[in-house]
Amino acid sequence: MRAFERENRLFSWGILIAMVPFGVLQSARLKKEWSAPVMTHHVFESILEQDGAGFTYFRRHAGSLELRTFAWVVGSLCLLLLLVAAGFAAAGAWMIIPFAGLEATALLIAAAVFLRRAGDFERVDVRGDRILVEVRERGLAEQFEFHRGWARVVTGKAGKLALRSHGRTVEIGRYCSEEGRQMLARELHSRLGGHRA
Amino acid sequence: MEAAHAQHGHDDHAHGHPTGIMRWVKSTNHKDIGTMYLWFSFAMFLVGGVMALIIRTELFQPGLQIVQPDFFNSMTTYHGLIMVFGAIMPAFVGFANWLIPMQIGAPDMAFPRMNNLSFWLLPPAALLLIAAQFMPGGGAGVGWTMYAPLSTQAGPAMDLTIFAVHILGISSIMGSINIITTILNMRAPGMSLMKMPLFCWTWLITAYLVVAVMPVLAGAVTMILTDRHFGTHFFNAAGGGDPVLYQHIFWFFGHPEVYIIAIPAFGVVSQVIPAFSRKPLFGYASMVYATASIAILSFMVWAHHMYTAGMPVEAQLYFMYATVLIAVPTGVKVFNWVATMWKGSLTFETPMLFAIGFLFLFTLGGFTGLVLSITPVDVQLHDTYYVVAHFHYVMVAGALFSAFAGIYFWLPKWTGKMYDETLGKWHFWLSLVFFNVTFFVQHFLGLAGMPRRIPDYAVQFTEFNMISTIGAFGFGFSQLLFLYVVVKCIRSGEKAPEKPWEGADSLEWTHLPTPAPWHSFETPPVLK
Repeated sequence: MRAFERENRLFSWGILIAMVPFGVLQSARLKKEWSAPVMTHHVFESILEQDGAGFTYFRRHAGSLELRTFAWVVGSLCLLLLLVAAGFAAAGAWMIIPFAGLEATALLIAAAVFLRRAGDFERVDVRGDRILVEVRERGLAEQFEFHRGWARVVTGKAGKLALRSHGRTVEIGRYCSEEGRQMLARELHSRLGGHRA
Repeated sequence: MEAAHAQHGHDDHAHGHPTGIMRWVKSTNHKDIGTMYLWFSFAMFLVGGVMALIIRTELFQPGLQIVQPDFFNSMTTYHGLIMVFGAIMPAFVGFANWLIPMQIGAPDMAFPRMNNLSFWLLPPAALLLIAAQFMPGGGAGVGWTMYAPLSTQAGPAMDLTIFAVHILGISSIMGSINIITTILNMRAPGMSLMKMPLFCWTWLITAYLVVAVMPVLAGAVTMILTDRHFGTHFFNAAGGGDPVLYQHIFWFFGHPEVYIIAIPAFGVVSQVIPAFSRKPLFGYASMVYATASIAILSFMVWAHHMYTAGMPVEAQLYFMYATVLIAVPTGVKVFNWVATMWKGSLTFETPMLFAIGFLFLFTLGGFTGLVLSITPVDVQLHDTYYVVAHFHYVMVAGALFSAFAGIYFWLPKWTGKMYDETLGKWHFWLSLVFFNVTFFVQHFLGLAGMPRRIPDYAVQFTEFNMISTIGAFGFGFSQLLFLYVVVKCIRSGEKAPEKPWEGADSLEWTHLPTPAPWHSFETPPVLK
């Protein structure tokens, strides 16, 4: 069996090295914008109010996870992982700890991503001459104001929708399906100066 | 319902539905990924099945007939690994991908890109497992349990196996995090946890199990790796390590793994039986609690796999009683399935036949499990063919029959076409008969003392081994009929009605058209 030792090492390192490009490729794929549409925002509540010439469009996440349940789920899983890893470490198998730690980190990252998205919304308010766009995405809130006479609805790649005026462009309808974006574009188009594709 | 259908009717053509090979490579659509999981698992099922047939061919007669002992050991190892990690687990992840978003009213999984990645990790892992056969010295003949010190001394194939297990583990963890997040956070308004279809509950609990035990497996195989190459002595008694520690670590993972496979199977059966009984599932809440109880208990019984490894009598007693305790929640489930059928308007289409086959054979496997849980009995039967028969009744007749039930049940929803009912029934009866021909006789072999994982045996075991081998070939070829039924359904099946099973009442049947659209539930369904 000892005759295998050198071969073993060679193969192990060979495989480790071979795995590196695979890992790099995979992470590159994760970063890359894929052509396939991704439904990154899932369940929504939307309100479309019309008040004479006025118009408000509001859309936000409607996640079914309450903060308390969320804390309970993540906390219990991390505690369980900690207990299991600590138990085996006490018996001498400490190498479970780094894997438990990695997994707990992955869980926390997944949780953080969802928490960041939890309060995201988009509001487009058309009143008088003013168009107010409020966006909160991944925890960052922004507000944009346009003049109704100058603002234009533009459509971009993959059916993306935006408001543009005086060199400023703000994406809207980001949480909508394609059908929803088309409807929003029609509503805005009828109230603004025009629509350019 | 018509309004909902009209709303989704156009969706097949929306969003620039991608085509060609890149549709599958880059897909972030839960349905496409579910389909890929299912086809991958079937391919692995065939690979593992061929390995099983090699084993059974060798065992047709005593003496060494067609393969060398090392190769035989390698076949038993990779048959187990491929069937558990490559076939059965991905099959149920495929079901989860297809069904969970549709059953909770979500448009997709929570992390679609991670979903794609977790699938595409599987093929390299499978290639590593297959490539291990071609390493110097052949595949690692260490058994799917990879016990030390055998695994610390095995040839280079062991390293490939370890890496494959790591990759499969990463894939499972990513899948589970996705499932937990999806179920908890993406339910449609009104879809409370206790209104979810039981399949979603079983997967939520399974995903918890996966997250809890996968680091243990990863740590175990990494310690084997470092013992092999980096001078550690975790499991080397000569260096102060303990080989029995490996067994504890492995089975702390391995026993919940049994339930990681079985619990989603319970979920599938819990959807099928009420649909063909035309009654709601009996005791829904007790089913949820029983499933959770089984999952919790599965962490506390691991050492019943190790009665003969040496442990104090008190520990043996504890593990024996704890194991017997699992019969209680399992009994609740079996009772509830039977009670669901009681006075129902039963019909026996193929999915129902497989579900009843599951119920009957899984219960038998459960009973032999109870026999093995009794320490003094297990000391006699440990590592005999009785154990082989027991876990094949649980894994094949349990998980696989349930997967077949699920595939026949949801095939019209997935493809929009009906499968050939006559051929489906043939598939069921051939599978049922040949399964029992293969494995029932193995109980007798085990009781008579035939050890498992051997390529040769004493002549008194010949007849039962011959019967078992004939059954194995029959069972194997019956699965080609299954492939034919599925391909025929996809290519030339009759158009399925909107709701082919009148008793089916989960969202994918009541709120979505058949076949399910490319994107479903872009706006949340209205639930009562």
